[in-house]
Amino acid sequence: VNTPHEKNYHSEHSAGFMPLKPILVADDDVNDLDIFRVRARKCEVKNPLVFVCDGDEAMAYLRKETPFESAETPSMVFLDLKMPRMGGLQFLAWMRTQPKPDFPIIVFSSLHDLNQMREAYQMGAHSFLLKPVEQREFCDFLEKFKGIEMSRCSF
Amino acid sequence: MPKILLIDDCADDRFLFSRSLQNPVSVGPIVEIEDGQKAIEYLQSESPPDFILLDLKMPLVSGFEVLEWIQGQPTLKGVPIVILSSSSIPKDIEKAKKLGAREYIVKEDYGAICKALADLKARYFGQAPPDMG
Repeated sequence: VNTPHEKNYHSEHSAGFMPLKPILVADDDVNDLDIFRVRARKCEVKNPLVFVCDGDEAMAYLRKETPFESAETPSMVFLDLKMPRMGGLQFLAWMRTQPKPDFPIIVFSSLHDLNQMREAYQMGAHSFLLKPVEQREFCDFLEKFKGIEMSRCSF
Repeated sequence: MPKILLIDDCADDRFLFSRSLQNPVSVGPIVEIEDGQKAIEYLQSESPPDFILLDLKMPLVSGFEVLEWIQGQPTLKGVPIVILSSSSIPKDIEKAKKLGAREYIVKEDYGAICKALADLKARYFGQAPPDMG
C-alpha cells in the first residue's frame, strides 16, 4: 500500500492570516519562465514570484547570499531538472545536506527519463508539474498548497 | 478516502501511475498488485476497491481475464475500471470495453500518461465526482 506522503504542505482553507511567501522558480529556459509567469498571472497568484536560472542561484537564494540578502523563505520551489552549472538533482542533493525545509520542492520539467523522476523523489522532491503546463492544470495544482493566495480562474 | 487498485506487472509503470495519482495530493490509498492472479486473490479476500487501474498484458493471468472474472462478481459491479495498456490495437480496445472497462488509456510517452492520469483524477476524484456506481 502506498501511503500519502508529506501531507502538511496542503491547503485546508484556513481562515487565518498568513504572510505571502514567494514562489521560487529555478529554470534556465526563459520561455518556460514566461509561461509560468503568464499562468500565475491568469490565476491571480498574489505570492511574489522569484525566478532564478539554475540550482546554483536557487542555492544562493536560500542561503541569502549576494544578491539575495533580503530573500524570504519560499512557500514552494519549482525546480527544472536540466540546468547549467547546477541541475535539479544536484540541487536536491545539496538540499539533503541542509535541515529539512518547511516548503515543498516541485519538479518542474518535461518527463523523458523516469529514472530522473524516481531519483528526484528519492532525494526529497514532493511532487511534479509537467511541462508544457496548461492553465487549468497549473491552477488545479497550485491551489492544493497552503500559503498560496490565488483566484480560481475562469477558462 | 477511495481505495484504488493498481494492477500492472511493470514496476516502472506502477511507480509512475501511483505517483501521478498522488500528485500533488493523494486521492487515497493505492494498492499495487503485479499480476492478474494476485489481483483476483486480492479482490476475493479484501473489501472492494473504489477504482481499478488495469494493465492488459501480464504473465499468468491477463487483464482481459481479470475483466472477465470481475464481470461475474456482483460485489464489484459498478466499480470503474480503466485500462492502461501499451496496445493501441482497436480490437484490444473494443474487447476491453466489451468486458466492462470504462476507459482505455494507451501507454505512450511518460508525459502523456501523467497528464491522462491527472485528467482521470480530476474527473473521478475532483470536486464533482461522478456516480461511482
